Amino acid sequence: MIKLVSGDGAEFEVEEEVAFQSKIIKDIVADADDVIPLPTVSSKVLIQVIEYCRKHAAVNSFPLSPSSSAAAAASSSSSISYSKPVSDPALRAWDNEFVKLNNSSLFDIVIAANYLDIEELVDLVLETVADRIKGKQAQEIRRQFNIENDFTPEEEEALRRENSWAFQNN
Amino acid sequence: MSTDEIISSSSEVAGSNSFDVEPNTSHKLCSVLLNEYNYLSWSRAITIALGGRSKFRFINGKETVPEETAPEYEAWLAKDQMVMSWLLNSMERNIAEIFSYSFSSLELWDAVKDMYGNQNNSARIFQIQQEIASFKQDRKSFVGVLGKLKNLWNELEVYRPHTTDFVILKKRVEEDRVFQLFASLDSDYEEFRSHILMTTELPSLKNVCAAIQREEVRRKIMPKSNMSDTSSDAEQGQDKPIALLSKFASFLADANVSNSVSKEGILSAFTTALKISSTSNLWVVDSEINQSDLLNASDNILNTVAPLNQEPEQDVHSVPINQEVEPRRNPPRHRQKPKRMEDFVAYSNTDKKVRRNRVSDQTGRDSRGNLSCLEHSAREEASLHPKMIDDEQSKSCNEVITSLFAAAASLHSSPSAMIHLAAGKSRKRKEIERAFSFNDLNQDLLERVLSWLPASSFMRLRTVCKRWNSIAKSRTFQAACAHIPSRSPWFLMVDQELDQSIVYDAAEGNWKALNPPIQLLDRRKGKPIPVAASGATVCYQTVDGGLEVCNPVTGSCRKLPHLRQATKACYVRAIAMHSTPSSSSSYKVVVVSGEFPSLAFRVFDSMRGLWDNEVKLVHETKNSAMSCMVDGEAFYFLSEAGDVVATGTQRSLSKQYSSVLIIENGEEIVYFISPSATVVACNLAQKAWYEYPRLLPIYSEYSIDVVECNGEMLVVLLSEFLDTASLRVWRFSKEDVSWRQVATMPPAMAHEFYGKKLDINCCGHGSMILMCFHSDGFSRCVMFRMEANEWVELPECFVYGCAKEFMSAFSFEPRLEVVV
Repeated sequence: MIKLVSGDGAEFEVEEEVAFQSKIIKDIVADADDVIPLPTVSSKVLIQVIEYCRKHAAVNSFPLSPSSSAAAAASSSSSISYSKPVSDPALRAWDNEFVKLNNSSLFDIVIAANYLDIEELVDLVLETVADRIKGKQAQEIRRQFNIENDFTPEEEEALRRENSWAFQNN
Repeated sequence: MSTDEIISSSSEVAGSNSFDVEPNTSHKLCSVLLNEYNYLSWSRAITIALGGRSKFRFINGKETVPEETAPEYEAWLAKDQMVMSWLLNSMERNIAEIFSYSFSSLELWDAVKDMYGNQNNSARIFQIQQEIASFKQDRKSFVGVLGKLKNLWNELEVYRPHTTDFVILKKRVEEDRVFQLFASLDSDYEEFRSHILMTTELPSLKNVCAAIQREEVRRKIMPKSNMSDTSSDAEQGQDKPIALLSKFASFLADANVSNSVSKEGILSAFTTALKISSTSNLWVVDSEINQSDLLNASDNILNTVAPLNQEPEQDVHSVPINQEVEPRRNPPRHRQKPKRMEDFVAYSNTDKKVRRNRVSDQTGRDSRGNLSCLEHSAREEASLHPKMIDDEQSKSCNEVITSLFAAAASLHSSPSAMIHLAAGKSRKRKEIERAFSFNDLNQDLLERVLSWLPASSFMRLRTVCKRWNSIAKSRTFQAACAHIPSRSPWFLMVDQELDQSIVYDAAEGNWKALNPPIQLLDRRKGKPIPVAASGATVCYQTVDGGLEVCNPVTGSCRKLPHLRQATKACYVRAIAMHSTPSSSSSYKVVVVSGEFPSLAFRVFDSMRGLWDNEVKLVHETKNSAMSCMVDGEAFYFLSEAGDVVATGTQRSLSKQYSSVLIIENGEEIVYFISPSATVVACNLAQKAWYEYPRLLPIYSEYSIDVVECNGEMLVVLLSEFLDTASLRVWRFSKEDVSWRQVATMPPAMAHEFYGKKLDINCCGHGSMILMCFHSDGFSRCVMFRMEANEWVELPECFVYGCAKEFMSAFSFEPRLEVVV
């Protein structure tokens, strides 16, 4: 059992295989004790992250075939490691339910997951966010996410002309 | 920071510290540290304290700074640095960090002034005046009333010191009139009111009147249009907290009369307070002094009522707590457990600082997290101190009532909180959404979010801001894009003029006109013809017979080395392309050529950049049923591809080399349609080719194409029998060496094709097949989705008012990162 302590002092006891979904925790446990403080992660977010890890640990616990573990080793050796797409349809469905949250919650989760180095979760959330913004116009994005438009009208127009095909809607 | 603390501490500083002139660098000038809200009183305390140490010259600019080389520089530096360290010590740590790199104490002083000194206090002055005017004794002791009033007076004094200056006095009278005017306005002007109070300089009465007049006119003209969205929500939002408040107030009145509170009563007050806090999350989101006061007030309620509240109601839990994850909450060590009821007030006071820090840290995070924490501590304390109810009930009741009252009073008296309550739900939702900003994502995460966007969305959203635009060129972004396992395909459409600027976007379900790649534009000799596609690239054949591989989205192009051998176009049977999904920029082009039955193939590998030597394919006759067809009928159909022959199979120019490359059991197999309209398979690994049995008797076949779908080869066949047409999709079953039907186009749809002498050209991607039906004056595109067995005719594509007639299509994944 590993004890995780959230930023607001709450303690969570989780099994090793659940906690080890996070590569950071795996590394820390290797050369430290079993109580891991996570000062930047709030309880609320940590609960959600643990829920995700628990589900994925349960599904991934089936013994890996030699080829896939070799592939995993190969991918982790590269400088940036990315997760493989989730193949299990049931897990995929569970994931889809999991990310039915408002944007700010997703945002908290992705920052926590990035901090904890849980690549699958980072990808899941980022894909969800991308999915939510892909159909929108730039103006909507700016308004919704409070982004300042730092283009001059001429610059913006030039950019639009350059990629005019992206703006067609027929 | 409450008002009384500020005032008492500043007077304390003025009184005690002025006698203390020890040159101690770790010394604090005043007991109250600078935070975001108390600049005015803090600066006054500092001025007094520095004046008492005769160091005031260092911050008002009167002290001349000597040259660095001058002998007195050292002495000046020593004093100045000391003053600077005093100042820094008198700030809260997070603020001191902002200013810790100042050059001199004067610079530091000015920087702090610039940051906090210009705050407009109109809103606070308005609030204090309202509070004073509406203040009632309400059965409190006279000392309590006087203390409260005195605090308010003192604070007002700080904001508006006594003066005889005529100009200032006149301005104040005008300000007061503006405030009184505001106070008289109806509550539907709340938003308007807050808007004006937030401006840096309070406008003149004249301007305010004009603005209100304009607003009134605007509302008459646009009675519902502007308000319709928000007002319905706003009404709900307005009703709820106000109803709750009145419930709360009536409870308080009852409790006060009887002077003894039942447990249920307190419980309901507690839940009411919680509901109020949860319906007005904005208290936490906005970091303004009034609201944090409110937050503290609700803290007070929670902390005070907690011991009496043994069973918090379930419905106020705003955060679902997973049963499996049982948080065991450890209180932070510096917090001492309150032992007795009186301590609770002090406890909640120390808690303020913690809470406020959290407010500033987590601005924008969901405030419910905080609330649930509060609730946790409340529950925990409830379980730790259950006995208190019996022991000190009567004593605690008074405490409870007082603090609830204070909370209620502050709820009533805080206009800006009311503004937010009135603004209601829609506003709240917006605010929370706002808090989620892409600006807070680090570069890596932002790039990875954008890498998931489809190409057209990304191109569109590049115009959001410069940061997003610059990401297109980032190498790490391209690396992130390359890791996206698959993209929804685009179908490059080819019409009779070989215009290749139109694509069909399967995900968005629309046509797009691409800017044709620059390299392809300047072709005086003639347009290149697309002949194969795979991954993100399309392979073109130029008029001189050379091949080019191109990414149609970016225009990145590569000319393949010329095939030196005597493969004139007429001998080329099939051109197929294959790319490995993991690295889209590496691909293979396979060319099968030769006269039947002596076929050969050559492979171009992009990594090595050259053509392998030609490999001869052996004709395999696995099965007697398959044999001798080619020799016999190839003689009969001695055609070149593209020519109309007896079977009626026609190939559009772009599909004359139509083929698919499929990897079966690690062996690459190229399938194509022979001139005699049979399916030919070339196994490149075994260096053999063989022919599949004919699907239907030759007289009923009309048009046929091979297609890749879900990694296997399928055949689409349009046939005419009796007086109707039918279109079927077939799979070859190796077990029983025969064709099996996979799908059939709905007869009503297929019947339209009867007698049209159509040429069909198909293009598969994943489980989709795009079928183009074309003959002179007739053109249809049908999208078939295998999984849903769904046949959908695509809308017509108009360019400059003319419907395009497409003959064939090639699918590719639009990938911006792929460079050939």
